[in-house]
Amino acid sequence: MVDPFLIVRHLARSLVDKPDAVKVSESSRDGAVVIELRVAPDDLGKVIGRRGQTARALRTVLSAATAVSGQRVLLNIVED
Amino acid sequence: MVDLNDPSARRPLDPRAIDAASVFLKDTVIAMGLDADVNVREEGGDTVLELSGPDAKHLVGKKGVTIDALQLLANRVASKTVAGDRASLVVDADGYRAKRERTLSTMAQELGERCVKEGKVILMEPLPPRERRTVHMALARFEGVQTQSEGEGEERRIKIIPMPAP
Repeated sequence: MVDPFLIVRHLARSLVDKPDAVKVSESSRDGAVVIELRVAPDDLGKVIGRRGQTARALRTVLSAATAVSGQRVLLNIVED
Repeated sequence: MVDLNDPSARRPLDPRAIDAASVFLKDTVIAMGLDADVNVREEGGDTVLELSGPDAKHLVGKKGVTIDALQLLANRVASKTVAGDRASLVVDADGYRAKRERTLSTMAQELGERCVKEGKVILMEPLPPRERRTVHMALARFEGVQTQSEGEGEERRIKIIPMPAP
């Protein structure tokens, strides 16, 4: 079983300028895994992208990885 | 009209950017719990990062959504490595891009014929830049039609327009 937490952390840390500020938390809701991603305020654009393109790509890769095992995973990018 | 967009596509990339993208892809595949290797090659002016191995087919996705997402992310990582350089690496898996190009060329020819026959404008579904280029090229010397792109960003699509004989 793949760990969605590790995937999101790896992807986010690869995209941002401040990898040490990347915080990922995992919880469950209605049978789905909910991943919350927080990054440094200056890095928010790096994980969201123009018109949300990068965020969509993150979700696509995440669901490709988890679809095999039938897990349902939601990714929320949280702006504090 | 051929939109040979993305002039940066023709500029050779910094090797450090290619390395960064390559390592990123390899680590992503591992994090996804899959087994595939990354090989780098030059092809027709493009740098292609090809994923191959037992799980490469799982990295393509329906209509290439997964490989397109990986390509976008790998390009972000490459661009970050060499500041000011907008990377345009091609990420491929299991020969998907070549297969898709053949499918699109055939589809373009068929739509071109239909456009001429019916004399009506045909609007295709949205396609990414490289795939639009394939369609424009496939119809560039097709008698009786003209192609145009319209719309913005991910909604950009090709219009095939019937042209009256001169």
